Order: sequence, then C-alpha cells, then structure tokens
Amino acid sequence: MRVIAAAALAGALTLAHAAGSVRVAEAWIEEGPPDVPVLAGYATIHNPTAQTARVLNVSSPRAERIEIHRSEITENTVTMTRVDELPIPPGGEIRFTPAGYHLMIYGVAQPPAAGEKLPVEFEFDGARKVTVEAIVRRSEGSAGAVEGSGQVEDAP
Amino acid sequence: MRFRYNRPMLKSPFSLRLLAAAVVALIVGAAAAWLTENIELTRSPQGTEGLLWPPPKTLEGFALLDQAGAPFTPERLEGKWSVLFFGFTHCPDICPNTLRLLEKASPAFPADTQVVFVSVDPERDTPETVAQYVRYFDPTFLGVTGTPESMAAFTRSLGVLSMRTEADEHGNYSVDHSAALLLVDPHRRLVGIIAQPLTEESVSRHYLDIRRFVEHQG
Ligand SMILES: [Cu+2]
Repeated sequence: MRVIAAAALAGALTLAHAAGSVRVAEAWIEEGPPDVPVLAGYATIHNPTAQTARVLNVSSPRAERIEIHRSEITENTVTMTRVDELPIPPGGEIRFTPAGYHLMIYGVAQPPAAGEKLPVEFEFDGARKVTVEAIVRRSEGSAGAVEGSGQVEDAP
Repeated sequence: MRFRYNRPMLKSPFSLRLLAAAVVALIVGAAAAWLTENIELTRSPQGTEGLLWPPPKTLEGFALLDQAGAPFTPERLEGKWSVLFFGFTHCPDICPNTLRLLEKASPAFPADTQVVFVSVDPERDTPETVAQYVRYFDPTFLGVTGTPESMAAFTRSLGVLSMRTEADEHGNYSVDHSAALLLVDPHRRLVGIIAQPLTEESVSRHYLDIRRFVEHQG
C-alpha cells in the first residue's frame, strides 16, 4: 500500500515537473552554400520555471562543435560575439533570430539541404537536456517554423 | 520629407536651402557615421538619401582578385554601376541574409549593374571559397578577395571598417565590418551609401534615386 502511494506521488511530481520545464521550440538551420565552414541555427527557448535557466552547452552528432553567438548591427557596423553562458530569466524566453542570437554550427560533414533535419541537444544547468530536430531551410523573411520543438528530459 | 533639387522653391531663399540641407544632413549623418574622417563628406542638399555629392572619392590604385582568380583592378568598375557589399564566408548569420536580400532586389536593378561581394576576411577567403559562396546565392554576383594587405588598403581607402576579433582557442575569429552597401558609378566614383536597415525595397529605391541624380549631373 505504501509502495503504491509513493509511486503515485512520484508520478504526480514528474507531471508537474514536465508541465513547467524548460522548452526549446521552432529550431531551424539556415541552409548554406556547399562546403561552407559554418552554418547558423535558430530556436526559441522558454523557461516557465521560477529559476533562471542557463544554457551551458549545445551539440549535435552531425557537427564538430556548436556555439552560441550574438550578431549586432550598430551604426552600420556588424559585430558577432560568442556567448559562453546564456541565462533565460524565470518565466521568460529567448528567441534566436538572424542578426541576433544564433547557433554557430561548425564542421557539419555533409552540408544539409533544405528539408533535412539535424538533431540538436541543448544542455541546461541542473543536468537538464533537451534534444530537438532542427529543420534546415532557406530564410525568405518568413515566420519561424513550428517544427523542431522539444521539452526537457529528466536528468539522468 | 523629400526635396527635389530642381524644384523652384529651392532656387529661392537661402534659408530654405539651409533648412533642406540640415534635414538631409540628419538623415545622411547616420548613414555616414562609419566613414572615416579622411573622407570629407559633403552632405547633399538634394534630398536623395545616401547620396554623396560631390563624390568624395574615385576608386583607384587597387589590385584584388575576383572569384576566378583574375585581377580585380580599377578598370573592372568602369562603364557600369557597382553595388559593393562587404562580408566573409565564416559569417553564417548576417551575410547570407544580405546576399539573399540582394538576390531578390537585383532584378529591379538596371542591366549595367554588378553586385560585388567583397571579402573582409582575405586570409580565409580564397578566390575558390568566395566563388562557391557567391555562386550559391546568385551566379551573376561577383566575388572579390585578395591579399590581406591589398584588401586592407582597399577597404581603408573606402572608409569601410573591417576589424578582426581576437582568435579563440579553436583559432576562430570574426570580422567586425561595415554593413552598409556602397554605390560606385561608371566613372569609379563613390557616389552613395545605402544604410541599414536594408530591405529589398529600400535597396532598389535608394540605388535608383542616387543613380537618377548622378546621371542628371552628366
Ligand atoms: Cu556567429
């Protein structure tokens, strides 16, 4: 009897956790020229939790390395800087966009064509991981795709 | 607010001209902020946004390479209009965006126009790299690179900013650079700056406005 109660309680806790956990949505990758050394990826990260969530690492089995970068255009000058740790405020979200935050995807062996999908894993603090399928497409000023969403898995 | 330079009202009171010039100076000022001080920028009283008149500079004395490895020298800018865009192939975010925009805007350009992608990262961008990159966006675009020294001299002479950031532990670096488009007339004169934010519509409109003015001057 006690075992069943404990299991039910654990189940309820898991559900509550899943409903309010960090989410990565609308992940996509800009199609690039053949043999281009680096591709740009985008996503929206939602943090409905009451604590700041930090992206510590991003990776893909298809890429050598993924970094988070931020481009800025100020006074007609373009700058691009690496962001080593991206905090997402409690109850907030960060939207990656061209000329803003982007994933800098180095060393993709076979450059993917529009329509293909690449698995991308986001690692947050607290050993939380979210894997999404990022769809490759050509940006034509269209709104973000709704595909490529993912939710946090329980920490191992 | 637009002032046509040949409108009778501008032929009259001096103060009106002054007002027009001041308004235009405000608009052009933002566009020209990145130009280095060695280019004396005369603010156009003509109300054409981005127009540099009289032209502050004739492009000369450069020896670069096009995407086929052929010399890209001043003659290559003669007898046609050139839209210059500065970027580099290790830039997957803003550069492809601008090239796509130019690809979409360029059908509205007169036929004697060449769109030129100028690499601000000649150390990594060989003619072959540039060829592949540019061809993907539009095979009619020209890609230009060169030795680091010749490219630095070229961008400096144009007042175009291009600054390498420090390399990280993987040897990667970025190049902060000017995001505006430069317009060069068939006499190799730098006659316009098309400033950010760029849109398909703004690029064509400013180019055609500036061109109309320059051609009217003969
Ligand atoms: Cu980047």
